[in-house]
Amino acid sequence: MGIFNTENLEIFSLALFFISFFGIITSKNMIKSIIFVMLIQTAVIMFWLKLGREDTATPIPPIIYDPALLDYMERIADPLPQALTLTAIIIGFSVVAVIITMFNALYRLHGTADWKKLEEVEGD
Amino acid sequence: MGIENIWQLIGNIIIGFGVFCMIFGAVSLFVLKDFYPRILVASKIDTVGLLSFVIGFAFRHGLSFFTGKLFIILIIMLVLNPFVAHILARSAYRSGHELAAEAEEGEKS
Amino acid sequence: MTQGLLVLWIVSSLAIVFETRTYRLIIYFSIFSLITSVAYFLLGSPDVAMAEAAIAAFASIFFIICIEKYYSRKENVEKDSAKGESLARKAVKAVPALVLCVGLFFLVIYFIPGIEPSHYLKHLYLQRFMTDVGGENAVTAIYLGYRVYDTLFEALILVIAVVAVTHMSYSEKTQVADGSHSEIETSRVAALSLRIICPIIVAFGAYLIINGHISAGGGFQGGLALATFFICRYMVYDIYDISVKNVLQWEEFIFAIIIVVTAIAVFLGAATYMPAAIVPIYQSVYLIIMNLLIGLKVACAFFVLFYRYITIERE
Repeated sequence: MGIFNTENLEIFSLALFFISFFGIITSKNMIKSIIFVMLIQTAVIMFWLKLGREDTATPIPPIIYDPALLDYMERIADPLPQALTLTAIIIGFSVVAVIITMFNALYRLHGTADWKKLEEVEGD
Repeated sequence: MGIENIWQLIGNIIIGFGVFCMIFGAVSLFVLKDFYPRILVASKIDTVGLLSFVIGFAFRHGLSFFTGKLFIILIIMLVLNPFVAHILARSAYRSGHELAAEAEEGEKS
Repeated sequence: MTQGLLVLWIVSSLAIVFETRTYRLIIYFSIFSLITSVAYFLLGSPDVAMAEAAIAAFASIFFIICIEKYYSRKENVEKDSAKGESLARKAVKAVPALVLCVGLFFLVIYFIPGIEPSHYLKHLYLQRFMTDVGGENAVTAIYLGYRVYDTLFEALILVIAVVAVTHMSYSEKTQVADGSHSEIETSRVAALSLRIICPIIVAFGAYLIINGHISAGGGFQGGLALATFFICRYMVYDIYDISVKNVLQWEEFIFAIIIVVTAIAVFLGAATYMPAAIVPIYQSVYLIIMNLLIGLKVACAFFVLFYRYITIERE
């Protein structure tokens, strides 16, 4: 069905990456920027998972309860990006938690959540 | 028409009832303007719609391990959905949210 | 179905770009994460899907607490932004960023077809993990066996992040004393429902952790489920009676145990000193113990994060 295909998931994740990039550099609110930091991480993870696919059909999860499954090696999903993204998701979230705390401290100090207003406040 | 087909028919009828409930709930979410009626409708979508879906799937599938899993989901949803609606309505009431009609009367008096 | 999902994916991310009200941002973010989780599942990675769903739930909770406690409700993005500006001026201001992003997008698209990923490591791992590490789940075998350094440093980063959050948000003035209740009385219906649900949550978390090496799941996902139990406990009793410091010390202690277990099992290679008959049993015991430790550590970390955010009162 045209470009709306799982084959083009790379293009979709790249589009999401640049949408989030656009959001980060244009958003005025800090909470919005923090949310886009999480979105950009999702885009990278999706790109990575897609890159590990050999076959175009829906992949089998890499849980080999029966050694006979190894005959369909092409159809099994790549376990290496999955194991790495598991840790990447947790690390990304802990980074976001630290960012939220920094936002809270900043808001308590200056009383604003706007990037532009923050520059004015700090300029004085 | 064997006995399996009758079970399938019953399951389809129950799923159809769930779809009916969900469609009417989704329409009335847009028709109703106040917060409390919306909560009522949303909890009805969650509870009645989803429960009839699950029961319909159980009828279609017959008695097996899969049906047991479905019934665990059913019990969890039966507890959680009214709880969510209750928490939403309660916190709205506690933070002073009023119905639109009552708010108008309050302004007049 | 997948096509529709992908379109919804992009639409929800665009909705976040154009939304200006803060609470709706969080709701759109939840929708986006749900779609992402389903897409991960369709890509054949149930472990990542579970982790994404749980993390998204925690992230929305933290964002909402943050908005409730610090960032006042009436102060929206609309109020923050300059009101005098017309829509056209705003659009003109966004043009350079738009040109930059679209240009970079097409530049990358132009070079993408040249990438040919190699599947050498995939075949190697999938053929050998059952004898090298044990278990049936290749993902668990990789993050506890072949790439255990990654997991160690991930655990270290989680400890550092939790310590940073605890110390950065500390202030004497706003600290809530141990054992105090909040002024809102808890709803009895909520307490009753959560008491029914809590055992199911704990059983689910324990199942994910203990069965992590033979089915989808593992330490991270089970730990997140266990952390949810503590949140339910806070909602039922509404009392700040668990000391954050103690839990933090427990977390560091569990991290030390993880390092010791890894050192004995992987770096010293305990399996080489054993008779070949008991190696499979030893391998599954090692996987279960590591999953259990990681699960407890993640549960402690997320519990500390949640309590840290919830116990700081508004000034």
